[in-house]
Amino acid sequence: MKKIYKLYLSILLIIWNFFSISFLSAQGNQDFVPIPPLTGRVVDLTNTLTETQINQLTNKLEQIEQTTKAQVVVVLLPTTGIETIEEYSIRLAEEWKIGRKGYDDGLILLVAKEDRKIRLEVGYGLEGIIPDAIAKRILSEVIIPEFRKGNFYEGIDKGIDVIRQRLQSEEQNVDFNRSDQDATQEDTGKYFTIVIIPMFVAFFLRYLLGFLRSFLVTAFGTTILSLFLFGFSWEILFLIFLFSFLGSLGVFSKGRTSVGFSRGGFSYGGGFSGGGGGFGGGGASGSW
Amino acid sequence: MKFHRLLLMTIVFVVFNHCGYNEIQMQDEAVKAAWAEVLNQYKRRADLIPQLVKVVEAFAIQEKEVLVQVTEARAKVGTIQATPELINNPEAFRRFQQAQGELSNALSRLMVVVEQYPQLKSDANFRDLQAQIEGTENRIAVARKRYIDSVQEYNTTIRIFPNVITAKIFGYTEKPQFEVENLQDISKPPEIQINTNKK
Repeated sequence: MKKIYKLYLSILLIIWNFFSISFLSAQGNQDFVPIPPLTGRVVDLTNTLTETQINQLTNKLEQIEQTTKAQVVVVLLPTTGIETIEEYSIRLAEEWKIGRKGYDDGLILLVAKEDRKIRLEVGYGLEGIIPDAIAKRILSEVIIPEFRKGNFYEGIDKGIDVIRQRLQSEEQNVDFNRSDQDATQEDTGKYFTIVIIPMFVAFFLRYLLGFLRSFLVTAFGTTILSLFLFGFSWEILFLIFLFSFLGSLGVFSKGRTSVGFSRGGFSYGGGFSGGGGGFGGGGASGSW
Repeated sequence: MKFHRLLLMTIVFVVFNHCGYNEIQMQDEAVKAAWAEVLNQYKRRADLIPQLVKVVEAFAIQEKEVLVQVTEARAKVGTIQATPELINNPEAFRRFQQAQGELSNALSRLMVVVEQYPQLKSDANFRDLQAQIEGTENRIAVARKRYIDSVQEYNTTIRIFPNVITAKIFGYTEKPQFEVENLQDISKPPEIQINTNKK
């Protein structure tokens, strides 16, 4: 009998959770050129660069990151499709999150070879060091002349050199408050929802259900809720831990509940990943 | 009896966890932040325009008409108080958008005119300004897109049951969205482009 109540409860909770999720799905447009996976500091989908050149560039970009902390990546792709290079570039920047979180010191050099378009996308934190006018000059005075001669590697290489000089010579005036503020706000919301409310609910339920079962219901509900609200994270792992701990006490009947999806997000293949840097459309574009 | 009690506590639990109050709070803040960024970028553009007009005047004084149009459009933008409260007033929001749209048009006309003055086009000052304005136009496009997304999310959130009740109780109403014509603007590239291609 008790099992039935539990089952009933669980089902009801699950249904409610589903019911109250916002039904906003990302509007995937099939005509858009997909964002390539971030396989390294240099992503060449056009086979323009030789392996040696890619390695040399990658080493250079690694050195830049070691000395200035700024992350720079180079992307070559055939075309940005129906989007302008600016639109594609910001999508890519939002997806890859190059640069450190809170410092937003990422930089993306994007080349759309068939479109004959190039863009330097500058993260928030570097807009002071590389303002639009400078970005434009790097493109039109350093990179594009080489591109016109068909020297893609030389153009990119020289451009990266100029960028490195600027990054090393200028003191990084970093906009600390932007992302940090966002992050703390978000976290406060999370902890509030995950900790305060369940505590309150559990406290309330104790009078109705008794200690263990109220614990169970709350933990279960919260786990599901937070999965939907925030995806997979350590807080949830903690809750699941709590959950299984309760289960192991024998409070739980043998029926195992498994949540049908999890959004992993803290293991990256390869040795390179973006650090959560933000972009706001700064930089410049050009064509050759 | 026990069943009823279970039902009651289930409902109570769900209400506490799902009234959506926190969600609305967070998204309301997100909309405000996104809007502040939009205003910020528009202001940046407005600040750049006088410099641009000055540089163009130096080379192309005879293009008075276009220059006057740009200056007037910018003045009009300046008269509208660009405050965060704009998003709580659909009418003012619409006027603001209209003024900004007129400025965009005047600006692109100016850039067309500029094409006829090779000396102006090769002037270093002008080129830097042009790069800055292009960059700002792109930032405006990005900021607007993010505003649109955040408003879309917020407006959906406050319409979903049970959030809709919470929203009503606390007086959260829908935020104005950019109109369709504006949406079409967004899908266009920044209007100002340097013609670097050799003809």
